[in-house]
Amino acid sequence: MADYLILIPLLPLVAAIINLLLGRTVTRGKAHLVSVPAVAGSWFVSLLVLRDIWNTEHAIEQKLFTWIPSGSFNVPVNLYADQLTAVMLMVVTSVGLLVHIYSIGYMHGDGAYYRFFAYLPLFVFSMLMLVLADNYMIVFFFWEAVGLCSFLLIGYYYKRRSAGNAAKKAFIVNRVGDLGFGLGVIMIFWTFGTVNFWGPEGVFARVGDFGQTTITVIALLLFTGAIGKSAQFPLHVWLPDAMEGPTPVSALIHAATMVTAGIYLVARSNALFQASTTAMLVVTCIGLFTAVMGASIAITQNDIKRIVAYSTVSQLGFMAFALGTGAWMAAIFHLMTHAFFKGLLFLGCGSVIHGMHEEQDIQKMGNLRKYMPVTFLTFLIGSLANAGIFPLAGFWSKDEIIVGAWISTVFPNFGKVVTVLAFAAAFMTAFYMFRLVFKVFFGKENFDTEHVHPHESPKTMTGPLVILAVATILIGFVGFPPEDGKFHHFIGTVFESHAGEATHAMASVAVHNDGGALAVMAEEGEHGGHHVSLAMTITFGVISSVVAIGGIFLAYLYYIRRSLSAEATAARFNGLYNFLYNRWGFDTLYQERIVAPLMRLAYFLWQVIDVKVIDGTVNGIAKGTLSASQTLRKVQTGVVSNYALAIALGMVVIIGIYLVGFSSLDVPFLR
Amino acid sequence: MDSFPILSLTAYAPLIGALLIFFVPAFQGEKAKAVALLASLVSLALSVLLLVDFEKNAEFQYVEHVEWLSGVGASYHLGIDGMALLLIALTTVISTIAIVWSWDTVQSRPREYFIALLVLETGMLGVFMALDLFVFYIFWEVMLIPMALLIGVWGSANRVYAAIKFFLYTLAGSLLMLVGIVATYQDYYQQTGVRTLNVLELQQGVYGSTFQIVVFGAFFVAFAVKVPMFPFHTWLPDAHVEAPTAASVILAAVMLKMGGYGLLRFNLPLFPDGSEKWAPYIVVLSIIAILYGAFVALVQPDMKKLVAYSSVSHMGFVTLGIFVNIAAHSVDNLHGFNGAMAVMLAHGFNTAALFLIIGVIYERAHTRQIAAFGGLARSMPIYAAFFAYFMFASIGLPGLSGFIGEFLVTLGTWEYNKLAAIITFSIVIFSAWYMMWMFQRVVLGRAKGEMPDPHDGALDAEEKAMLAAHGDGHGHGHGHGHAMPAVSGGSHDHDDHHGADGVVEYPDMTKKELWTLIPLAVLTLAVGVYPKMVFDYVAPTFERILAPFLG
Repeated sequence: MADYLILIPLLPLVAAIINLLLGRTVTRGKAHLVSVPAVAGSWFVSLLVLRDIWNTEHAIEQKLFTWIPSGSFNVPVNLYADQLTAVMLMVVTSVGLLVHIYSIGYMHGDGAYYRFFAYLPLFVFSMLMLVLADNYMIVFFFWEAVGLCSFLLIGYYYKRRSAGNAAKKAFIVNRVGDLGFGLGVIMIFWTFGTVNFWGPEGVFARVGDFGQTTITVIALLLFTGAIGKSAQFPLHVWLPDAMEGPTPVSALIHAATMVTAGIYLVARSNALFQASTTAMLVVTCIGLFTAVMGASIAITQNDIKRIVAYSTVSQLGFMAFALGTGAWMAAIFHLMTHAFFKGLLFLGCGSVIHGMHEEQDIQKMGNLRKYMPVTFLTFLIGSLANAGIFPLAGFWSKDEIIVGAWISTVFPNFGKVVTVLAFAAAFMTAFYMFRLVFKVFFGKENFDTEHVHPHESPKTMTGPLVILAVATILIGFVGFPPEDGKFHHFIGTVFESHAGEATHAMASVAVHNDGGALAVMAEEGEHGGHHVSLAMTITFGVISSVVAIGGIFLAYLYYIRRSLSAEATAARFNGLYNFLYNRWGFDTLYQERIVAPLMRLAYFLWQVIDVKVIDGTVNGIAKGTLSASQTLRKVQTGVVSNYALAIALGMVVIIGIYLVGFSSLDVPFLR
Repeated sequence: MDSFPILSLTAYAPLIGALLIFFVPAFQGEKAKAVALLASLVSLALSVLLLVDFEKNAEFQYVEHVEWLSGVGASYHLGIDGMALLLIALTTVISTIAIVWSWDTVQSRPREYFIALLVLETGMLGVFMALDLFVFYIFWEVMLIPMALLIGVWGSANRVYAAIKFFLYTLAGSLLMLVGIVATYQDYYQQTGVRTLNVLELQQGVYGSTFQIVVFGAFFVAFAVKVPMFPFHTWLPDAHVEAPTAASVILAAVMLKMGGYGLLRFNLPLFPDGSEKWAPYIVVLSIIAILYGAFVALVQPDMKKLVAYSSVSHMGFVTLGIFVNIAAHSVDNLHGFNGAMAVMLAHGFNTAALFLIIGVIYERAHTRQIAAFGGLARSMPIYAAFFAYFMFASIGLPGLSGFIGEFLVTLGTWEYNKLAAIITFSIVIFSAWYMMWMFQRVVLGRAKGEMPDPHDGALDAEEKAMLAAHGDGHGHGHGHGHAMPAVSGGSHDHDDHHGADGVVEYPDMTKKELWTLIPLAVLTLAVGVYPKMVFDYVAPTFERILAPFLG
């Protein structure tokens, strides 16, 4: 059955190939007519797959061919869709389709329209293959492929030096993570003898057979890849720069889908991570730090896309520490809701930038709600969701993450610290989000109204905004009631199925934790189980809401009522402000401490080792023989037969010498 | 086809073409290249026939064995296994492409040029077919001369230095190998009383441990120069920079492979003990070469030198793969061999393509300095696409050929030494760095003489001043296709390439240029997606070679 699984990645691939090969001559300005239906088809088939899995509760498989057959290292290309994959398929194809439609308007009139509509489905193909893969090697394959698409799309406006820089930076920084991921795959192979996920001989079923240290190292190597792709500290520096790409790209690749590949990888490998507390602790710490850092930077930035980009960094941090604290389902839930509301926010940014004629500085905007009502309203919904306001999507998932940390059985005490810091990040999130909303859509026009006439975007752009806004309002309810919704029942099996197989006691406890209600029961058992869980959820919901509203209110005081002065605050805490404004100094640090020394090393190797030492020696020998070769040169007639004869003669002579003399030589040190 | 000398025919078809051009007056002048192309196509067709007909086992096939100089023990002895066959196919493909490329790019002495190319092809094919050390050595030397001539006669400014350096380096290695051949011959005679230069017989011999270590070294230096391994590599950048494009292509794609081939064909089977003793040191040297080549490539101002140093890096994977297998002593570990073979093919496709790509722009601008270019994507979009494609193939993007081999070699290395594998695999960062930086400076950004994009976030003071002077406003669109005001002056002295607005523009790729790159693009994709077709040919060969090391 299920031979239609291949259609999901195949349709976008075909569209990409058509536009790559025929774009310049045939499809040109009509390139979207190829790509949009292809992605729509892919979305529809994904829906069928979701329905099948929902009904049968069984994964769907389709075997294709063998990619690498090297002795025991055998890498098949098979498609495999379970509940987690189905969720990812829906996220990728839904947001992907809307971004494709949006791009018809946004990219209209672009000189290389077809190129855009070739890269975009190529990305969708790669991302779909990544989540459909049934072994680590194929995940790595498409991990790199989405990196390629990211490079191509960040550098889309190739004439800008900053775009070229950003594309290169994104790829190379990601490759630092890929180094870890690749080595992780290699170590998995030498440990398990296979890279396949499933089956009795697969990796997940046999985690318990190997030592704690081995599993920890493997998990951390895989997580290194996730750090790169999901823009976690210390490899987060590429993501804000990636905003050089066209805005629909930022929405699809650098907010909704590709950057969540790292989260997906860890979630997919939950059997490995559950078996290592150390790995879980690292994931938690990195994620938490990233969440706080990203939010703090977002507060001070003035480029509309960069603010949302740092917001993405921060939200990915939320997902990461959710994984680390064992709240697997909450992480995936947030991945899903974030894809919709962050996609919405980026497309909203694009609409603003479009309407403002390529202006990205929020200090030069203001009062745009008057000119762009649809963009304003949808952006507001996205912002409320990102801030975590009831009952929008972001509220449910973020709240679940925070509760998950509090009741974490992986780190019962540390989990409380995580919760407190998560609230701090959530407060900053609400603040920066509404700083943005107030400065862009409220107040008075901070631009030259004579020359700049903001306008609402065309229907192909506002349409997807409205659809995403509706999704942002509704999608949270698939997770209702909290920790016990349809979403949890559907996806829960992915994280439970290893309970019996993992031998470590810790692991099985962690599984209870992501069972949500179950975990709360274990934790609060004496108070009566599930009801307490609900009470607790409500308590946390209230705290979350207070924190979010507090952040929004503070932004209101600063930017609407102006009873507080942002300038004065920045001046008062000058050092901190500059620290945040300069993004914690990471770019400078890397430039000075890593890039520059490596460049100096490269020059040294070239100019000293290569030119002076090696070539110096060679030329010295050559000079000695030069006079000899000047003489010998006259023998060279250019006739090949002469050379052949000379070589043959030379050989005979040497053989002769050897036969006569060499055999009688007695060289002691060779004995 | 037992009696049909298909190997000889494949090898000598180019030589026959060369002789026709040389002796038949009608084939001199314009017709010379047609004869050359035809001759190389015959070889190509025959090698395809071989690929189809070959039985995928460990046996040497299509063996031709003719008595010749039997007093010395030499005989005319050809035969191929899967490894040789793939390299033969690579040779015929690359040679044909080189001839097509040279169709309209050779101005001086075209007749001699095509003769040199054809003799070179015969030499290379012979090297991969020879099963007799005498025959092997003749082909090995035959190949050296036309290549030195191609560099020395048709090269650029500093060609004589480069040609002599190439010749001497290689000759020094060859002479050591000759001594090694004679020593082996003699030792085998003392063991058995039989005088033979037949490789298959010689490898039945039992050589003393010290003898193996020393004679292994003699062969090894010859092949290490060819690969080229650090620190025997400094001839390569000079040779590439001076060589005409077609010679660079052949040099990189085929001749470097002879190093790897020689090690697998001679060093390992003849001297298993020597191999084991040397393996750890060669592994270390290979890893140095991988990183060293990448680092030195990073700071090269000349595109050809950059790719030349990248070759040192990539070829480090070949020697690493071969010897890490030996060093690891693992029954399971064929990954290094398989990887080495995949790297040889991938490097053959990708580096050949990169040299062609550099050739395309050299034909237009007559310089290869990275600093002389910028924004080529503007006037040469198809060129930019091919450049990007082969850049990614070269830096090991899965799905294109470069990835398979380097990953498998690292996989094999991990079993031997984890730290070595980690250092080796860090190449994924550095290869991306040097290639992308070049790509960015040459293909992306502004064309020479083009006004900066007003949305460019990284304008320098000079550019801002220029913008202000011309008063370019913030227009519609998304930062693309702005009609920039004309700017006078622009870059250096290629006035003939200045467009109406003072921007340096070059015509995009010609049909001929496309047809040299398309086959390579298809091959690199095919091997990248379905490497099974490579491993099916070579796995039996490698099992045979590895067998003595597992006893």
